[in-house]
Amino acid sequence: MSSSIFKKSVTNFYLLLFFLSLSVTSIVLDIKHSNSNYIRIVINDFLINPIQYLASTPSTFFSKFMEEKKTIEKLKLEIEILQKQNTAMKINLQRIDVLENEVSRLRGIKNNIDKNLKNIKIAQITQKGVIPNKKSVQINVGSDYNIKQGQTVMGINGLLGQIVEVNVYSSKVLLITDNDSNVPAKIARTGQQIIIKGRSQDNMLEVSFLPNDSEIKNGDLIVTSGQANRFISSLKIGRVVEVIRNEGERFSQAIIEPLENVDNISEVVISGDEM
Amino acid sequence: MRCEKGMLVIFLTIILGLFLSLITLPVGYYAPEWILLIIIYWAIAIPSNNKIFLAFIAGIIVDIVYGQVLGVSSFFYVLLIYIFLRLYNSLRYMTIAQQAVVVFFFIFIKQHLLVWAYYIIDRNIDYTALLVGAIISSIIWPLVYYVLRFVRRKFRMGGIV
Repeated sequence: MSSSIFKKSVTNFYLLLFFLSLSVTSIVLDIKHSNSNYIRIVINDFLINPIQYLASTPSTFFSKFMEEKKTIEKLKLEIEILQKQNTAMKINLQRIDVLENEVSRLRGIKNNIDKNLKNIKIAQITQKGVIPNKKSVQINVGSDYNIKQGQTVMGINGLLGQIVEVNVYSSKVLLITDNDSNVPAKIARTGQQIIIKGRSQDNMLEVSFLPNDSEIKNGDLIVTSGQANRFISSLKIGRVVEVIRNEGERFSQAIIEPLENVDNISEVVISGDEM
Repeated sequence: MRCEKGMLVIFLTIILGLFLSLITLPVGYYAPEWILLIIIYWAIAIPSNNKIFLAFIAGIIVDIVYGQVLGVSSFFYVLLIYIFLRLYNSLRYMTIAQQAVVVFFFIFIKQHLLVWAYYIIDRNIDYTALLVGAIISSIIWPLVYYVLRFVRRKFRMGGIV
């Protein structure tokens, strides 16, 4: 290192070329074989996830601390409400006998749909906003529970999104409210096929290209159509809240409010392997 | 032995950068590029060939954190660190504000190349967020510089104290 001060450069041009070509190779390999990328999975599970856990610990600690500071009066009020709900539920339970008969009759009809919903998995949301500038969540199951890319993720009330990245102990879900999400759907009342696009800015959904003569109206239920095998069919998505008719234009727009809000739930349901 | 200790410290600062980028992940590309800034500092402070390798590894990690195509960031990180390794002599004589401007300039170009690369491989990326991210990165640069200089002096790394 004696002559290092007057050295023109410490860098090796061939080293640069070597690493640049290595990067290009990895880009090409990642695009060609994005499903079987073990480097990504290994680094995600053994380096990033532990650090992510550490990074999110302070915020979860504070939220738990705040929860415990709920006053006793609030809890009493909660007990009262729960007792009322309990009696209502007991009354509802009496109707179960009647419903059981009905269910066994309906099951024969619904067999087709049930096949998809037989081996569902329940997962917990561990983190939100895991893909930069996209509406996304991370859930706590991965390929250890046989999760695969493209599986449908739903809440109790309706569709949430689909799985875009699978690691061993976690996977990432792109929500339907993201700008890049497109869901093949239909209007439940008329059966008309539409494509639903997300709107990241206000967590709503929209139909951008709706024929002007479409019989859509406010309050219509929108369900998945199951086309293109992207999502399971007949899942609820949302209700129409606004229809914008443009007389001079070729297409109308409709705004849809999703039935499931990811901020209100902590558990999601993942569909079985078969579509 | 000193060299090994130095590499360990550099590695730990990169882990710290990873920690910071995971904390700032919810704001997306508006967040500063912590890991890139940290490697740029080490490239200027202790220039050597292994910084290119470090840039490659760090780029792969950043790609995985941000869910990008594997290798895009490492490509530009390697390129940038090579340029900084060529320029380290002149950068050392600049004031911290001038350095921040240079850092902004290079990250600005890098973001444009990133958009271009994404255009080639047919994916879209938030353009304004990337530009704001470059500005925020250059604002953060003095902080990174002084903290890492403190670390370097504490562990007596790299000849000059």
